[in-house]
Formats: sequence, structure tokens, C-alpha cells
Amino acid sequence: MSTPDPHEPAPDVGFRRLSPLTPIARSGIFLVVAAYAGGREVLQEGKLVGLAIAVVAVVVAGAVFGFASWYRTFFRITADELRIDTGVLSRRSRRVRLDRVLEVGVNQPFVARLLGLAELKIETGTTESEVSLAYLPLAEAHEVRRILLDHGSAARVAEGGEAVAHPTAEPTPILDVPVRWQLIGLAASGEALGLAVMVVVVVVLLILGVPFGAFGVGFATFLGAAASLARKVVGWWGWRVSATPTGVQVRHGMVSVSTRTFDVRRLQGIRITEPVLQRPFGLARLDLSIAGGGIKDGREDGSDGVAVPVAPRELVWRLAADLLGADPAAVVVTKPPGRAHWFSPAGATWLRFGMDERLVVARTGWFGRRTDVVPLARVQSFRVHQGPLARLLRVATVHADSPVGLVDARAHYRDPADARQLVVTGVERAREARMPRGRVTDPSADVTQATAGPVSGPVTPA
Amino acid sequence: MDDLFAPPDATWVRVQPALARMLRVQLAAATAVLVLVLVVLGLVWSALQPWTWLALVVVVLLAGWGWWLAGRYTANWGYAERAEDLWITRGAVLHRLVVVPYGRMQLVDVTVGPVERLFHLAAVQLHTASPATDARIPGLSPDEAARLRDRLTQLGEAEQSGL
Repeated sequence: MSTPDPHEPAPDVGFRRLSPLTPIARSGIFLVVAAYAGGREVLQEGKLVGLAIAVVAVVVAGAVFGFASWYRTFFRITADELRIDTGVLSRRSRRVRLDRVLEVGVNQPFVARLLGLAELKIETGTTESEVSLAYLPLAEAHEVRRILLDHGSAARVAEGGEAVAHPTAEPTPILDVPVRWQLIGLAASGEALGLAVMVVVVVVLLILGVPFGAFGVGFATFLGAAASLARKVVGWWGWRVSATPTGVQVRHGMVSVSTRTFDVRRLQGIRITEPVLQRPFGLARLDLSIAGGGIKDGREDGSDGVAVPVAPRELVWRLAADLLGADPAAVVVTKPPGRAHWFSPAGATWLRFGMDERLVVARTGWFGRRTDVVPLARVQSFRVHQGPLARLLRVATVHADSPVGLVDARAHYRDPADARQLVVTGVERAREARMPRGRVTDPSADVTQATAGPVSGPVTPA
Repeated sequence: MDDLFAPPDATWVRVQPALARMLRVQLAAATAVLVLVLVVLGLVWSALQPWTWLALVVVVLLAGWGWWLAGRYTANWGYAERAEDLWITRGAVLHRLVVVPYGRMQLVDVTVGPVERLFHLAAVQLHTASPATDARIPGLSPDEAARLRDRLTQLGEAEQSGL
């Protein structure tokens, strides 16, 4: 399926309902649990009357509510929006701008699969509002996915955006995080270390004859840390990064699969973190900062997200280079002058900052390393700060501002002449990077190539 | 002021000296209220005690420092409109410089508070997608503020590039 003709009037399909089997698919697990609980009791105790009535009452009430909820749910797709009206008593109407739709996932949980149904997850790149259509017959789900993505692509073209080659192509995997890396990453985390220390302390104290009851509070903390670790294992399970026509999709989770697609064309910056404990294993983490598309206090809000929780450093840097359309490792970075040690006695040694024609790269971190990268074309403004003490020591700090988010590229404690030079060249290069005629130097142009080209094959661990 | 905060071209356009006057009047009013409260409190406790005198001295010293700061603050605030970007410098103690490309501006606000109106002053504030961008110019004459807003809006639209 190629990009549809934007002038073709979108077929207004009118309001539609979800599959009438939806209530059954939704309450499937609940029904099984109720039947199991009721059945077991009945078989064991022979007490039929009381419990059977209760179970029937609950099931009937659930069925009535489920039916009402299905009966009152409609959706409609027009040329530029998806509208979903729900609510039995108080009505709610949600609208999704189709030009902001990045990816539409077709999911089939167990019960739905038995009934030949599927759920559509519509991703717009913002975190707070996940939109889903559950459930539709499988064939219809695929049809609706195609319509949403085609219309979205056409709406983007109509607004002056770039055409997406194959809007409905399925995501191609580019990186799978094996369980081995995850376990190393988790074992080399603060929580695991704390847990290990606690276990050792408890064992030593027990050997010394301290009664077990004395560990009441400590035991609760222990459980908390263990639960947090377990949550990460379950949540990070099967972490997969895929390239979609509009960006990068992240899928993970053991019990419930969560999916998130990042619109790489709206990438504002990235952060690569190498935590202290994971550095000996050569592991790193990649976070992305994306312009959210929502408007908050008169400015577009940003949103952050983990792209890769833990992977070998080289893979993380390579993925970062592909997403940015330029290699951050190739940017020449320099140190602040020795005077910076007055401000940051230990940390100043590790401070680096630099920029080339495309990227601003800032690194900090004493034991753990943190590298923040901002494409010059995305820098909002440059700032210089100099307090009284910094003036005395002849240093100043330069900031390259990006929208709301975790990425924070700044050059700490630079020589004033150097700082001035950074601002002047930064402003100049940012302007060139933004130029629409300088397509070659515009990261947004390269991203489509990057996601379709060098990273399209699966990246396997060496 | 060293080269770090030098103007990009010839000179900075400075803000109206009325800004310092406004700040000083506000400062004087606040000081007067504080002094009054201290004196009344002191008299309630039968007589002006040593701590009252001490507090009065501190308040007056702080007011003096504020008076001096208001002058520096106003004198150091400046901006320069260039072909593609706006440069703003400011700061009495913490010196700052911010460069905002016109293509990055999302909106331009002009605000006139009740006190500012008395002194015929207005402030222009530029917003980009980054909340860290700290681009405000107070102490403009209302005409200059309106001119700046119109020009910035016009340039912003001409150079706008998406996120």
C-alpha cells in the first residue's frame, strides 16, 4: 500500500460499533476466575445455594454492564481525526488527530484470540493518553489500522510534512535486549547491591545470635527492594526496539506487553547513561526526548522515554547515531580549564563539551558517565551564566536549551573567551542546521534514511 | 563587563532608566513599611530595645544595597536585534546572556503591570519550546515594546521552523 492521494476525499464511514463479542472478551478472565472459585467451592463443600446465587448475580451484573458499555461505545474515522465516544452514564468523547498517529498496534490477548478478536492500540507519542479500540474482529482491526495510518500519512502531507513511503508497513526489529544483558544490568544496579548488603548483614547478625524478630523493619525494606527488582525483570522482559515507517517502536513486558513509538522526526535529544556498576560490563542505557505535541502553558511539551534499558555500549552508541542521523562519538569534545576544579573538585576532570555542524555533545560523570546529545537544528536558545565567584575565577557556563525533558546539554566552567566562541559558533551552526535548503544538514531528512537503511537488519550481540 | 557579555555588533540597546526609579520606589515603600512595623513592635514592648535597633540597621543596610543593585540591574540590562536572532544580556550579580533565534520563538508577550503603568514602562517576554529560555526585557517604553513585539512576531513567522 503506498501513500494515498491526499486529494481523494476520505470515505466518511460514519459511527461504528466494536465487536458484539467485546463484553465476553473483556470479562473472559473474570468469568474463568468466578467459575473456578464457585465451582471449587461447590464441589468441595456441597454448599450450592448461597455461593451459586452470588456468582450468578455477579456474572449477570457484569454482563449487563459489559453489554451497556459496548452498546454505548462508538467510533468514527474522518479524514483528519479518530473519534471515540464511550460511557454508559456520563459520556466521554475522545478525538485523536490522525497526523499525530505514529503507529497502530494489533494485539490479541488470549481470550480475544479464541474469539477471533483483536485490540487496536493507537500511539501518538505522548505518554499520558493511550488510546485503544477493543475489540474488533481481526480482519476489521487490520482494515482500521490501514485506514488510520493511510489517513494519518495523507494528513501529514497536507500539512506540509514529508510523505512516508509505506505508512502501513509492519515494524522491523532492530535490537532485542537478551535476558542475559538484563540480568547483568539488574545485578549491577543499586537495588541489587543494597539487597546483597542487607542479606549479608542479616546472615552475619543471625550467626551472631540476634533473634530473627529483630529484623521487622529491615525485612519490609528487603521485600520492597526485591519487589522493585522483580518488577523490572517482568517489565523489561522481551525488550525489542523496531523501526516503523514514522519512528522507533519499543515493546516490552512479560505479563502485559506495553508498546511505545517515538516519532524520530521530532527527536529533541538523547541521553546515554553508563551507570557506575554497569561500566565494568560495558553496558549503557539510552533515553530519548521527543516533542510531545501537546500544548502546555503556551509551549509544546516534551516527553521522555527509555529506548534501551541496558545494552552493550557500542550498540547503544550506534543506535543513537542512527536515530540522530549523525555520529555523536565523532564530535570532538574538550575539557574545561583546570580552574574548574575549584567548583567541582572531583567532577571537573570528566566534564566534556563540544559541537560539530550537526550535534551538541555534553558529558559529565565521575564514576557513572552521562552523555547528552542535542541536534543543533533543535536547540531553542543559547545561554551563558556567570556568577560572582565564576567571574572571579574567569569561567562561565554555556547552556544549549532544549524543550522540556531530561536532556540537558551544558558546558560547565569554560574559559570566557571559549564560552563566547561556543555561543557565537553555536548560534551560527544552529541556523545553518535549521535551514530547509540545507536538507543535507537537516537531521529530519536523514532519519528516514537512517531508520530504513543501516539499522533495518537485526542487530545481534557480538 | 568583559568580552563575554559584549554586544554582538556595536552596542547594546539599554532599557529605560525609569526602571531603576520604579524599583527604588518599590524598595523604599517596602523598607518604610518594615521600619514602621519594627518601630511599632518595639514601642509595644515598652521601649526600643537593642534587637529593634539591630533589625533597623540591617533593614536600612539591605535597602541601601538594594538601591545600588537596582541601578546596576537596570544599567546592565540590554538587548540587540540582529538579522536572525535576538541577544539579551542582564544581571547585577549573576551575569547572563541569552541568544534566541527568531525561528525558535513560539510567542511574544507584552505585559504592563499597574506599577509599571505609573512609570510608563512595559516588558516583553519571548517564549520558545524550552522553559529554560529566559528571554525577558523589562523597562521598555510602551511604544518600543509594541514595536519590538510586532517586529519579533513578524520575523518569527518568516523564519519559523518546526520542532
